[in-house]
Amino acid sequence: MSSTADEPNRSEQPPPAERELLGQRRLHWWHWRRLLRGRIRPLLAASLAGMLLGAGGMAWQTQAGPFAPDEVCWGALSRDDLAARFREPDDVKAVEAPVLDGGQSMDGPTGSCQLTNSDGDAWALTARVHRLDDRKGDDGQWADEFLSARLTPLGGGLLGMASDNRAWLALPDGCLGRPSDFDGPTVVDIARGSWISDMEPRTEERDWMARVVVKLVNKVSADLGCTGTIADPVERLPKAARYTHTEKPDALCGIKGLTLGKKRKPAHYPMITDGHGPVRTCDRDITGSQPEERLMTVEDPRLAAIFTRMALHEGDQVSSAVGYGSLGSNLGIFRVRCQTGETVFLVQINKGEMSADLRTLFPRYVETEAARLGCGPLKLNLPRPGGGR
Amino acid sequence: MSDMNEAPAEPGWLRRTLPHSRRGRLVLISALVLVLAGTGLGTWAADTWPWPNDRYCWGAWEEDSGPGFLGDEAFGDDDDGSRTGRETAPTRERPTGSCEVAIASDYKSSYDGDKVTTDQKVSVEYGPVPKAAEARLAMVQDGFLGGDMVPLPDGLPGTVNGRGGLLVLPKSCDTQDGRPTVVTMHASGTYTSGPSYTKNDPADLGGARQAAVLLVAAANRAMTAAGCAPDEPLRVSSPLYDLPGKQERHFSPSDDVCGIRGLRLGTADTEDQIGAVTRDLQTCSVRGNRDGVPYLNLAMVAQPRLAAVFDGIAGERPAARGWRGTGTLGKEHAIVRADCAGRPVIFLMGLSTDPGHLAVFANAAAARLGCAPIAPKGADR
Repeated sequence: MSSTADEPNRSEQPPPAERELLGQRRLHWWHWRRLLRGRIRPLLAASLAGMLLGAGGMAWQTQAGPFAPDEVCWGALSRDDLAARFREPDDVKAVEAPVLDGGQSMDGPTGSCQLTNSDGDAWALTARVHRLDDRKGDDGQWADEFLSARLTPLGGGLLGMASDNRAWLALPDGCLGRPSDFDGPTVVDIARGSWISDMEPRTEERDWMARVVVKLVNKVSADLGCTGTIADPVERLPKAARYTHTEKPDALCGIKGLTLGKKRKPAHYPMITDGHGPVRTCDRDITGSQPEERLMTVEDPRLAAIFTRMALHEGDQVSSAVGYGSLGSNLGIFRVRCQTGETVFLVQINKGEMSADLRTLFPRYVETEAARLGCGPLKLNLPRPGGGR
Repeated sequence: MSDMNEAPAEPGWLRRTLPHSRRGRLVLISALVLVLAGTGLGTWAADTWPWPNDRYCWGAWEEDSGPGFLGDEAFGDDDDGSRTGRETAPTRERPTGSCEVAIASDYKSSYDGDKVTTDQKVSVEYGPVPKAAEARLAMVQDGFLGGDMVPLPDGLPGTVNGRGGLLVLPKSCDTQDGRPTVVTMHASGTYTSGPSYTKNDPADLGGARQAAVLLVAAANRAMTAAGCAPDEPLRVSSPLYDLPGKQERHFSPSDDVCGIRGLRLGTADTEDQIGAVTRDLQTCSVRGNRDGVPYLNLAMVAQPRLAAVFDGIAGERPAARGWRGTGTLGKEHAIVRADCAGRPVIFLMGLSTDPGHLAVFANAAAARLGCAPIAPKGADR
């Protein structure tokens, strides 16, 4: 605070240099310099500094003005994160609904975030926080897309998967508690563009999706007051899934003993989930969001919960010493408690003329897969063909 | 600052140091006031106080650092409850140690006016696992491999839940004869209200993940004291991703328990709980649904460091005729060690003396891991 005050100075300090230049001229009483003379000046300066500091601090605290965060999707993704997949990451705009607790609805936290591409004429990425659940019955499509064989399990015990255009990861049990038997887990899922039909997923883009979904879960968990950071999963991921060209007629979907008959081989190659994870899916002829044929084992009990309604009500009842299930014209589903907990086996054939194959494949699939999981022996009794409930 | 007006002939050091002009002093005083106010505000805002908090367990845990038992909430309505620490640190020469935090409070309940007394304790033990097989199984399996335990985060070898946990320390802390050293933590306590009501009320560790953090912090301090700490201290950074499954009720004596076909106790009204089920660890416990009486504890351990805890106690011969690997079927515990999917795997059973239960469990777990059956045909029926 080098001052240029004019009042008598008891000290013998030499006057500051600028005093000669500015201080001694006669000034009108209303001149700002004269108004600011004397003791008022340091006080003013101090209060101005204080105000600036305070405002700056406030702006920083509330992340306003120049401190506004440049991160998108609940503050989880930086422009650098976007750079790998967006040509002009700085032009990407986000439309966000914050992650709020379901409160009264008991639906768990929900939120969404959509990003535009650089041209701003299309949604390039959609991220959602929501609880998978069975009651609304709209998770069939979710399962079609997000449990597809195109997705690689994130590994490391995580309940999540990723492909080049879909990824999902459940929030930790330690954060929201373990979901009950009839609620699915609360997940963050991301989708990029529409479901690409028959293409094999690209590893590099899959890795980006995996990284992003983990970042989102970490941020959402932290905002929900949970501690701990999930590490980047990419290093341990295998290459993205491919179509298997070595399938044998007596080991359909790579499952020894699963066969439609000695000579019969399906028209399409299967794609099989690569790596140990919450599901093992074997898809054929993935067109649109649905595969023509799917054989799927849901090994994680939290995820199996979203199929409860389907197992109870979709088609005619399948009986067995343990577990329960049903068989319809294009879907067979069976649910039983295995070592990991509730487990679901599902065979889905979306081509009308193949329902005879469904009757053949479904019990064989359930029985062999149960054996693989140490959940056997199981013996399924199918309802009579064409028989009503 | 009264000496300012008296103006002594010989200015003292204070006078000489202080600015000579009135304005200078004004500025100095304002600055001092501002600094004090700022510090005060900062202290208030950050809820810190310049005096250090008490620390416990070899300095690993700090008062008011998060978990309930280290904060004021541990005392209930009591304004002068006591928290006392007691500890013995391990040394290079004597590598065992323990520490304990005890909380005592009594107050008049604001709800019904009854006199409430709580006594809680968190205790940590550091030391090699016991030599004797029975003692070791009692400590590790009974204490920390139940169906209510989950693996520690970040691949640390051990288990945890909201009431305690076990951590197997790195090889550098093994004894001369190759026994691993472990750190265990256990929260206990009672709550007494009025003349007759008493319940279990263990000290609040702040949840299973916080328990893991506390356990690892204590382990790091103890290893340093014992001179066997790894270069990088152990750390918990991940969340606790999985919690144990919900208890599952079984009404009929012929129901399968633990999700395993043919594993039946022949007792009605039981419930089981599946803790971990990974390739490294599997736990399941069965107890009476009404009385909570424990019936059966089963565990599979393949995580190498956790499995090393059972080295040397599985005997030299097969558990029974036709079984793979080696093992012993004891009165309180049974243990079998066999190679499975390329590494030694430990199968454990507690409480039940029926080798059939262990046979069914071991064969099912082996099938899940993708290896040959452990028990011969017929042993599991």
